[in-house]
Amino acid sequence: MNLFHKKSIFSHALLSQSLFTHGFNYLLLISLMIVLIFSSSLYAANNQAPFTLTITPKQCVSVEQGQDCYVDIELNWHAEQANNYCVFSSVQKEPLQCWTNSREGTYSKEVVANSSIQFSLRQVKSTKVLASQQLDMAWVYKKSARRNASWRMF
Amino acid sequence: MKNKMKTAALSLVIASSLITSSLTLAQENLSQNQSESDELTKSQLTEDDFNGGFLKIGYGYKTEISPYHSEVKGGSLFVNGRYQWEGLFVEAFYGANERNEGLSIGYNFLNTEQWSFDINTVLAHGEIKSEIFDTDKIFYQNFDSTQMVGLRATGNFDQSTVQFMLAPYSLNDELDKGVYASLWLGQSWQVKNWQFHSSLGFTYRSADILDHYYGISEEEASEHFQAYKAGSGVDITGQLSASYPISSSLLFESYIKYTDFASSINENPVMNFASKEFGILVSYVF
Repeated sequence: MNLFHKKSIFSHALLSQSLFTHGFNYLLLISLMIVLIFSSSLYAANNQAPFTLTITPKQCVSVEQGQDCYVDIELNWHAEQANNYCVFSSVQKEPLQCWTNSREGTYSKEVVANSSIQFSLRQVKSTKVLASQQLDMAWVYKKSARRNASWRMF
Repeated sequence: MKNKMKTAALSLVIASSLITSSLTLAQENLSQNQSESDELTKSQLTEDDFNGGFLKIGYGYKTEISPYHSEVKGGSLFVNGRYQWEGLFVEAFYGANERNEGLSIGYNFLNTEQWSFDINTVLAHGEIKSEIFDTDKIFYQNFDSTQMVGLRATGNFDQSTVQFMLAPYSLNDELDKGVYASLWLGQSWQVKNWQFHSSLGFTYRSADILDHYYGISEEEASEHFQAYKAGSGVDITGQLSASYPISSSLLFESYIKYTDFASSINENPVMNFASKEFGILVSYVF
């Protein structure tokens, strides 16, 4: 076996070893990524908010700022544990609706407002806000100092 | 007689400006004497508070029957806007919900709780360009539009609006006499998120203006278009419109407008029918 042949075998061995090392590294990297992704999902699942409140739509639009705005809203809430819950709004003291021994509920109603309204989920006879959402007001024309609303008529 | 009327109108404009300027000074003195705890009222607002404006561009379908141009039926662009800076303003009204008076520039010199006073230009009459063949003669109508300058007062009372305009000065070299005046009444009301608006307008043009556009001299008269001298007259316009907000920038609009022209216009040999307009569009408000 001459020197060149020995070198060739050695080079081939080195190349094979290099390929094996790189391949192993890539496999290790992919495995780590899978573990991380799975862990994140598991973490998210284990740490999901115990209470959720959603509102549809999130905005009411009127023609002019300050006008009463009419919108049909739907509030959906969900809790991890069944209990007695109520939905409140910032414009009245009494609850909009209450549920007994429930884990979820839906509230629908036409709302008339000229400023934003805050909705919240609380347990019965508790002041602690478990979840909240806001209905925002929007408008096409902003009020201006010039009272003769040119956009309206002239 | 006409010169006396024009002089009287000029005197009225000047006197109104002087009186309202005095009122402005008086209001400023009054506001200086008020305590700081007083609630801010419109009389204490500065010119900065009136700076700004709006721009609305819309596109939709429009039909218009008018004696001044061929029938319009189809897609149409609508542009409306106003901008004011340090009292100076420019207004552009080409479209729905407005009087479609074109471009106007002016100066807003006084604002009170309910009223705004301006000196500005107004389109007293649009251009007329036509040729009418009658037997052995061609009857030409070739008149430029007439812009006039005058005093405008606009009052706002909750959902009602009233506007007066008196313009005794013409910027048209071919028509240096004449008086234009108008009175507009508007009322808005809201049903759910719909905004409805109605307006009624009375537009006066003196004999000088109407005879310039609709008079036919003896030399111009032909077999079917006899000589005619137009007197002063009042057009009456009624408009109904509805708006609905699609989003904070998009507005759905629809309107219908009808104009009954003055008898001195309808009685001229060339044209004698009313103007009708209908439009339905979506506008983007900047």
